[in-house]
Amino acid sequence: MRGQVTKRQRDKGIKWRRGTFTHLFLCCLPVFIPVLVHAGTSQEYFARGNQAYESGDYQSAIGLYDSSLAQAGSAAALYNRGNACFKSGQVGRAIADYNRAHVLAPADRDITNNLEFARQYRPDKTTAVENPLVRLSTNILRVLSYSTTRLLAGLLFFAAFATLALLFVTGNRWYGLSAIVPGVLFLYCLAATLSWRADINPARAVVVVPEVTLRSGPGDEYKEMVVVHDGLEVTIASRRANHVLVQAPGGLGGWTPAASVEVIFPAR
Amino acid sequence: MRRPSARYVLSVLSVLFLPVLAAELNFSADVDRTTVGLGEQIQLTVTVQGTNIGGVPRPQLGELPDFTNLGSTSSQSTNISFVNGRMTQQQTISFIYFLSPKKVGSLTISPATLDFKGATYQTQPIQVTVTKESQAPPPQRQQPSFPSWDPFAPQQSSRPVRGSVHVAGYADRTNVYQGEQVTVTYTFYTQQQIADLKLAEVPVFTGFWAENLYEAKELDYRDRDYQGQRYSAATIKKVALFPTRSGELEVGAMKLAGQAIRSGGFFFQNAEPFEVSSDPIRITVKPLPETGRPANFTGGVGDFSVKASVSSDSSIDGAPVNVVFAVSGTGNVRLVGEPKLAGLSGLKVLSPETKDNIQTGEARVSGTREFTFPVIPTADGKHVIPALEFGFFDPKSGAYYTRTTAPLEFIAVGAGSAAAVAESEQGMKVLGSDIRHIKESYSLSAGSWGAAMPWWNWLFYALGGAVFATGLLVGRHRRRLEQDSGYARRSRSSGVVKKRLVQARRFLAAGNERDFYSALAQAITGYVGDRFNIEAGGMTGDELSAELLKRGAAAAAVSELLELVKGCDAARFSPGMASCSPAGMLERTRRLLEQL
Repeated sequence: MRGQVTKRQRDKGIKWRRGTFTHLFLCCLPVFIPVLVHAGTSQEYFARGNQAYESGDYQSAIGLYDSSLAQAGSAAALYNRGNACFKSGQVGRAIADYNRAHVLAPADRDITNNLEFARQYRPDKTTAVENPLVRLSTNILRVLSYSTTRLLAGLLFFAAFATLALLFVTGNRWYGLSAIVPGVLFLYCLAATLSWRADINPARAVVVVPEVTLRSGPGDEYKEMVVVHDGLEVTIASRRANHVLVQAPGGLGGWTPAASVEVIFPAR
Repeated sequence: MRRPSARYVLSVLSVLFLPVLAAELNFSADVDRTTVGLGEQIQLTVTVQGTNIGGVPRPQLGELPDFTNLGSTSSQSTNISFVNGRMTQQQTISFIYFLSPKKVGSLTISPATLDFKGATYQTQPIQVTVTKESQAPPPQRQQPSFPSWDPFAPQQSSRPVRGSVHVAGYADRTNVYQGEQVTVTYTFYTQQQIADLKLAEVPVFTGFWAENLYEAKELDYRDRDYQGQRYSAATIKKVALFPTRSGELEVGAMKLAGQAIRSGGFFFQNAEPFEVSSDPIRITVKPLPETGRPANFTGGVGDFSVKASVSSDSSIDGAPVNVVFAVSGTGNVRLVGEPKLAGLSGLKVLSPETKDNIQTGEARVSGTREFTFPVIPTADGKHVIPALEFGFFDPKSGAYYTRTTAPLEFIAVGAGSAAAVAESEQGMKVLGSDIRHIKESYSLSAGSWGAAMPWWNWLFYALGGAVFATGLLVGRHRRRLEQDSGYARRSRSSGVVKKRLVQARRFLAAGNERDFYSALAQAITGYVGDRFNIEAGGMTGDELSAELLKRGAAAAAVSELLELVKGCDAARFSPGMASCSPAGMLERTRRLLEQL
């Protein structure tokens, strides 16, 4: 009876497949359990944070979102914590959280809208108008998230070079032409990754106190240079004990207590 | 309890709401003074004040038979306020008229009327008292330095008053363009001692816009020649006049009255009253040339520069941004009209507020006129106000010039809310803006911005590189196989010889020694031929030996090879002559091939 599968063989095949899937699931369960437990705990804090936010208890909401984020990173939790900070008058912390959420979910319009909205509320307004071409290119490069561009860059690199290898082996020029597509996409993902890396800069910080004076040196005995306010985004140029040297847009800068600024993307 | 009647309710409602309705537009008139000397100037200001009164027409003045209308101007200011997110515009438009009374007495300025949105508004009549004498403060008396009061010089005081006291008006130019400055100076000349000098008649400047440069509060006498004689002269008034129309215009005469002190002896003196008047001055005013007049010309005559600025680089929630256009320079600054700032997409431009800062020096009138346009963004984004152009006529060169400002820009955020409130009083009303609400779902992108790239992601790069290198090597090998026959034979030689040896073993196992030796000989000669890229099959032993030695083969190996080939041939054709067993031959062949 060649070419025909008996019922026994068929049943055996199904059992084998079922057994394989069960076996694979049981093998992977130890890997997924911590993730599921974390996700559950993080979601629980997230939901409780939302309840506190809805009731107007923004400080409690911030604490609960903190707990949620300590368990697992989430753009939604960062965004909601940014909202709670904004509602409680902490514009600088809100801007920091919106920036973080934007990196994880760049396509989310709520995040970009609230980031722009919060920036309008800070007392120190920047007069520099962004070059529209730079803005356009940045928007094009930031369509996908940082992690997605990194993953795609690896996949496209492999695809482009494997296709080129086929060209060398077979001599068929169509493989060469076919390699252009993954090659160009790889270069885009590489540029996007570099763009994100420039954004996710540990030197980026935001002022989180209502008002602070920048001085010419790391201490209160130094000359006062400029007064900045909550929400101003700065770049940390140098660090000393308990003090940081920050530079504001436009070139102004000075030393300030480290506690008066919050690093947006702390190095991990 | 008795219910209130409908009439009663209407009365109460009208009492409650009528003031509110009336408060939407205030229409009033006022004068800068109610007592004025004949020939002097009085300023009548008619004010329209209210909310949303854009497009209000110019009020109609009543009949003014007792006054001469010298000219008019207007100014406007807008006060924008936000109360509970709702924008309110309070506008004030002032129409200023300059009147000169024609006769002495109690005169009435008739009410002005205004028709607006179907309603007619009227001001109250204003009473003005006109006296013969000037109401301007008289210049303080100061004794002339020459002739000085000297009781021992009776010859001076014995002069007749007539002919020794004069007032003269002098214009620095008499042929000008419309809008070009003419400076007129009134000077008092005397050879007498003067007391109680006062202005009997103020000069009238009909057809001119006048700016006082100097008005004597104290007479400052200096020695000057006038009509060939020596006089003590004092400047009474200096005025800059800007013709508002072309043609032959007349600058009015000035009349002074006073008393000349005359000596009556050693200790006595008497005073003789006198009245002197200057001659009117005729000015020829040329019209501005039509040729070359730019479209942006708004009446400026002189030499000007322009500057534009915005009050803020950003507008939040539709808050207005003031665009300030400033015209500075020398000339008829007050007569410069507003520039056109219209047709801007996404912006609502309100009527400008005008502010003048005039400097009147000794000779020329200069200053700055600022037009402040409240601009309300109706769309978000970056708004660019293009360069503003200002055309003016320079009488020195007799040509028109255009000055241009730099473009301005600002950013608007949340512009829709206030614009909607401003545009429509009914329908949808946007009352404010806020951040967007929190996320209900936790499922939005999870992860961390700082996480290192997972190890398996690096695997793609490693695999990609490895596959590429392999493909490169394989491709190169394939091409060489196609192009280099020696390389191809050498590459295949190992595989071919292995197959032949396997075949030889099969023959041996089958007991077929003849074919075994034949396959063995083929394996040896075929391998040598492939390895060294020669045709070994057709060569004699000596030729093969010479060729192999030439290609660098070891002499011992060559000798062994020839011996094996001979042994195989001998075993094939003379089976009894075999010097070695087949297995031994096979082993010797394997060693030889390894050696080669």
